[in-house]
Amino acid sequence: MNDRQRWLRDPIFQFFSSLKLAIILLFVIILGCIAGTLYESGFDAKVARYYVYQAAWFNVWLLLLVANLTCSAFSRWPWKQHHVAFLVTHLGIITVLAGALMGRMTGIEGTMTIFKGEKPNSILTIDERILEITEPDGRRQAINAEVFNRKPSEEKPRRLTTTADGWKLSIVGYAPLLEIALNPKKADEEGIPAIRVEIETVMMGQKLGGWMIADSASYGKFPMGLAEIKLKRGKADLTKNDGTPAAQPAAAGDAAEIEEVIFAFAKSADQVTRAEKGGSSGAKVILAVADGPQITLSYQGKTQTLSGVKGGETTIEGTELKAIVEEYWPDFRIKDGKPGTVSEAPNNPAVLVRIKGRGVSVAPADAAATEAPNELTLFIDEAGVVSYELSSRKLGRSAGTLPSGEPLATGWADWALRVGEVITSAVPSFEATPVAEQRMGNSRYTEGVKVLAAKDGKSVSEWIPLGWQVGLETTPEPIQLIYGYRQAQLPVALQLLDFEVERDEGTDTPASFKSHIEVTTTDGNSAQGHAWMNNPFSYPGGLWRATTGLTYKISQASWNPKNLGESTVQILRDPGWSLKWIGSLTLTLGIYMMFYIPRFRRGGKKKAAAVEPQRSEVSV
Amino acid sequence: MFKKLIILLSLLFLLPSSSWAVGELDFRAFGDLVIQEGGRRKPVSTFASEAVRKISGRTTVEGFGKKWQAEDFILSLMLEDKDWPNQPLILCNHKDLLKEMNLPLDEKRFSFTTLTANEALKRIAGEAAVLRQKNKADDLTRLQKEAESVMGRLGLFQNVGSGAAFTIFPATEKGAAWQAPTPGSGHPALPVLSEMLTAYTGRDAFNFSKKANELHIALRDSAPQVYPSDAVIKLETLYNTYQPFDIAAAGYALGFILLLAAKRLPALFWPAMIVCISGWLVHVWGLVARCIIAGRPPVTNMYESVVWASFGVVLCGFIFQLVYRGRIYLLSALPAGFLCLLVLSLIPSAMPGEINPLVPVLRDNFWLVIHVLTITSSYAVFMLAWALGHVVLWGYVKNPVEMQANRELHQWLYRVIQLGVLLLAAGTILGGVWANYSWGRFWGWDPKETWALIALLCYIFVLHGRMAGMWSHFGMAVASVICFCAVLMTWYGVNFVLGKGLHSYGFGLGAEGYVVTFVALDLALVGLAAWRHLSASKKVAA
Repeated sequence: MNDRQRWLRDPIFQFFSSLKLAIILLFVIILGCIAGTLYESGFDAKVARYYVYQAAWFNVWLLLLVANLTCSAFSRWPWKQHHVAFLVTHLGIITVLAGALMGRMTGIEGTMTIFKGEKPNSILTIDERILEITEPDGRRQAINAEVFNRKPSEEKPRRLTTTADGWKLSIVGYAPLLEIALNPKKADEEGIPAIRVEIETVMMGQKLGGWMIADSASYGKFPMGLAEIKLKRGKADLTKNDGTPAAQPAAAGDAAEIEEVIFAFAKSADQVTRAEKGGSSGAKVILAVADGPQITLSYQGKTQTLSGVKGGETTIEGTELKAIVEEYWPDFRIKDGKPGTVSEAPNNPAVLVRIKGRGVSVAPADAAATEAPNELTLFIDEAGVVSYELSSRKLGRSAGTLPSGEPLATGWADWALRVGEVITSAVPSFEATPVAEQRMGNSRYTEGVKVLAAKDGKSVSEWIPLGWQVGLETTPEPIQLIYGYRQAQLPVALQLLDFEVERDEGTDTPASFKSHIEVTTTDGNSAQGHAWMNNPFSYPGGLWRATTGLTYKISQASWNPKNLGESTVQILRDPGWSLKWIGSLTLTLGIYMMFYIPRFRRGGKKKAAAVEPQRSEVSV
Repeated sequence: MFKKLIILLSLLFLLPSSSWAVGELDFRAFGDLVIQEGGRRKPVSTFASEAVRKISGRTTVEGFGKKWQAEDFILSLMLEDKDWPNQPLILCNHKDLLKEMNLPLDEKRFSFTTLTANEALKRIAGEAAVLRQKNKADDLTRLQKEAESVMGRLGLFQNVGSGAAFTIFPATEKGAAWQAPTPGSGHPALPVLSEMLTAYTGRDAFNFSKKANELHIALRDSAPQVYPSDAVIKLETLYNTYQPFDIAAAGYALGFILLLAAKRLPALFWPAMIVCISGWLVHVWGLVARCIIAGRPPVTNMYESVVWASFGVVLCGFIFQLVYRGRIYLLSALPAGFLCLLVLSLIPSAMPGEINPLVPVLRDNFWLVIHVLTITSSYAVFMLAWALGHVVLWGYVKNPVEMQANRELHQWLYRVIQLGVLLLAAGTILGGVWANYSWGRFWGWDPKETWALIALLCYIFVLHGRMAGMWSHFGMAVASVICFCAVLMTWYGVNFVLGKGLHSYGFGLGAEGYVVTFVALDLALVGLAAWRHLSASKKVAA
């Protein structure tokens, strides 16, 4: 008994069991949580986790809380009946926290994207960006490379590691958008031909450029929205140079309902016409700008001025056609694939006019013309001579040779193409540079980090896009770096058998997604199941597994509206699960007893007796 | 002492009246037609009032010298040659957006023509569309979200005007999209429809109703297997017409006044109770009707949680009054319930009452229902504690010494907080059960989860402080008011202010001004009471 009293009187024990400590701990946890939610709101969940929820100080604080709860429980020793509620509640909290700790240390959480018809996948992707460093001697390590709100820079690098050769590696930059452009290098032999093209429009004020590799599936093309440029090996078929317009004029003289839109620029006599119904009227729109747009329409030799106001309607004299000014841009630019204006200054004025009504069509609607798409195929032969076959809705088909530097009018608006550098034998190589926004062309875009290796005053650095492997040109041997998500090997493999999407009635809004999955294990066991919203599939199943958390829980995470044979599932294993449940139940029960069962709480009987009989009204 | 509440009560008379000015046309038969919109089938009356509320943020439309009933307005917009596009109808009230758009900041509504011609609006909404296309909806700024809402209103206005939104022609298959009337489609109901519309434009009341009824039958007969039963439609029309939550609010206000009066005139007690109970029964009816119409419990958005919590706070008032025989419980619960329902009535644009289908994550989930209802019940209980806290604080302002001596009232407040803590703890843990079921993990520091925990910890902190003797009577009253701010943050703030996290289906915009003013006024009252209490204790000590 004396021994017990001695430890009860120990000042350290008293400090840890004190109510004051509990109050301070609670207060700081409250503040921490508030800070965490503010971090999440200002940045994202990862930042909040990094600075608060998974930060060392917060966990130390939770450990202190456990110490406090335990000590305060023992400070009531010897326990009596009126301690029950208090003990149960505090035991509940300790159990929940123990479960959380166990889950953190031994649990697994990640996602896996599986495709219908593909082999079983057992690689789990964890939501943590890493740099995988492979040294020349084969040593490999993966280091956390998450970038939070404070981005690493040349001035504030993030140290990674030092290699066996003495190279010090650090992250010295982060870019949310890297352009990974093809930048082929000359090869001595066995290379592929590559050319650089430059394509430019005066009207829209845009200039694009990029490399293409002949016959390559992804880099043999240069997509430009409505048109595409391709590069192939060989020579153009010059007999295709027949000059036939792609669109045959319709039988003239037939009056029909026609509707077309005309795009005209002040800086160019060219106009872009699209017949939407019945054919084209053959009208020309001329735009001039002086104190606002002056729009003149010329139709069958006669000209007239249109109302310059947006939405203004003018009937074309002597016809049943109406011209409507739909849009006017003082400084026209294609932004994010859509027409827009960059300023109110008339730097590049453009206008959109719709012509509508009964009239005589001079060319059929574009529905027919789409059969002859805008396409340019470039050919390169062994000697490096470039030739082309061009098909455009406006100019028809043509073919010819194309010397470097000479412009080729494509007939797609006023885009003109020039061939720049030509490499007859090249190996593909890429260059990543941070950019502000994506452009048309064959470049890839993703985020990336810049890694610098330094040794004895020498340094090399390279941008590494997410999901790419890049070699740093260190001596004597290069170091290989991969920037990507951490991956883990699971003892089970998943295969997508089927994927279904249900939708809300009368809409395209998805109501439910369901993956039909097969799980196989290394010892040859397998099971099938369905995972859909709120209905995970657990493997191995069974009540015991479900209650202990010793199971792989597969939940539907996301899907790809463009590919219904693809599904992303979340896989979770949490051995701390049962402790969390038991703790939660205990905690709630404890609170209930504390408030509503007087004999389980201290002073309960006395206080209850003092309050209950007074059932009179209160005057306020 | 209840002056403040009485001022609030007088606001009741500013509520939009739910009865319409009698016009020559009767829109009931027209309103009972069924339309498929927003992923469910509903009466045209619902569609019309939702459309008006979405477009203008109000329940009626004013223009051309009269107030337009919702059905009248959509028909007029569709059929009549009135200059609707130039009427200032469309809600666009976000100050920063107005600044960007170069529109007067003191106006809230603008005409369709003004807004569609605005380049800044198009540009901002275009930026938002680009972000959405890139799957970066999380990066949308407040300005962009507001611009999107305005564009949505413009689109709705246009679709109503063109008739494209008027999808009353049932598809024969379940789940397929219903059609808007297409001239020349040869649908057997088309002639009746055009007769009805002619009757409308001719203001021929008799034929308008007659043809609407005939149209109803013709449409139902064209697809009897998908057309909803008359009973369900009638229930929804009834729910729309009588606005049960407005009636309940009125009942609570009146009951409160009568209960106050009953302190002087005891004979009024039972009439007052009857009014309160009737109001509450209408509230219950409204909840049940809503569940039947929606086919699910009221657990999905801010509107439903406010309706549930106000129901809960009055219920708690009744229960505590029964158990502890303290009339002060109901007397404080009534204004709280009333205030909640008043908010729903005053700012429908921030908390729209439309019944929408559930987002996938919320479907068929027992644990979701249990967890949300437990949590919102705890909000209700804390709201009761908050209201009681006001009674106590006001007592301190009036007479600190007398209030300090009133042990019973403080004890009652403590009882309410206890129940709240139990419910919030259970609700938060049940939230973990649901999260585990739905997202696979028990606890993930989602802002909503974290704030529920913060609110719980705040109350626990207060209870421990009380135990440690750091504060007692007065402190608990202050705590019941201040800790309620944490509840408000969990309830409203996470969804409307932080706007991040997995509970995104409940997100919304607006009403910050109201909430901030409310919290500031509340804290001012706490300050006043604290000053009175402290100066009184000093006097006693001296």
